[in-house]
Amino acid sequence: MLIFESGNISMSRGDVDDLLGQGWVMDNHLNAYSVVIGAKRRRTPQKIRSFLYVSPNHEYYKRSNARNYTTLISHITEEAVNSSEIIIMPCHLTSHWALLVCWIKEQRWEFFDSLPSSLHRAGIRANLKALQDDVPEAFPEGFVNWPVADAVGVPCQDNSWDCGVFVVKFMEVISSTETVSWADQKNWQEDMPRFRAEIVAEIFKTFSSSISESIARLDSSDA
Amino acid sequence: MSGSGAATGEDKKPDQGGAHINLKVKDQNGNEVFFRIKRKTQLKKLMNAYCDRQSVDPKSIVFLFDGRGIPAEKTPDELEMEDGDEIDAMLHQSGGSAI
Repeated sequence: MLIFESGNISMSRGDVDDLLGQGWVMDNHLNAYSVVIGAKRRRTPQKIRSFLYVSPNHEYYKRSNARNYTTLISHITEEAVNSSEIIIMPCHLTSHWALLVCWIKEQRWEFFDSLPSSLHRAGIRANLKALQDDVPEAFPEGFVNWPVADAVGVPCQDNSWDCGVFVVKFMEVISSTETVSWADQKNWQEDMPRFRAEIVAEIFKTFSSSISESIARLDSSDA
Repeated sequence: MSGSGAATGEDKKPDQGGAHINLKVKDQNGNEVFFRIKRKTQLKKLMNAYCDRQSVDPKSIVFLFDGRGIPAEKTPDELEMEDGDEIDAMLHQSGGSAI
């Protein structure tokens, strides 16, 4: 059963249950959360960095030869890159989520992984190459070869299901203008049940207007 | 061309502009399944039939038409689909751990 649908993002009852329980995070959860962060920036621009979001679906749909998959990156233009501080790119690595962040002005990438592994690091190349193939003109030359550093001292998971929630939290911390000391963030694993509930609450808060719009649409089409 | 030729046994004519439409559903591995549905039938019927046939949980798949998610209650007519159009059925990316 679908709870809401907005553009390319839809959330079913099952998706919400997965988030609230110990389910794995899916691409649509991450896509939805990028909209949450965008909405926060519109409300409080001083608190959220200007960012560009690259959906993990881009590389995946490209690889799968889906038709018109480039609609996913139509917002990635030279102008958008120039006016953004960071690029947020969740990477899907077989059955794991990690986060790749670009500090555009500093011309460097940072990789956030709640289960650090050099294998995961290798996986991000495909995502970068897909960007280079499709929107090379949007970026300064050689951006795919900018140094990639592992984010050091970030919280890690101790189970086999929370990586996506860590990625959501990484997205949140990185996009915030507040400086965060990772040393103070060691308890993320214990806080998971609360984080999961907060993520659902934020998603609903952001999409509630689209929920009411959908209802209005349904009502008018019945007439 | 108008001209409502009475159905002549075996040869299945793609009734251009008619009540039916042939659609191709392609998954992330390039496997194709063909469907013929009424233009005014909600695409949810096709999606459910596809998931049944492939034995997949409908929740685990997103259906795209021209790069955009297909609202289940829409019909081919409403999305201005044409005969032979392709729908992409992409398994959601999902992750929890490393294997």
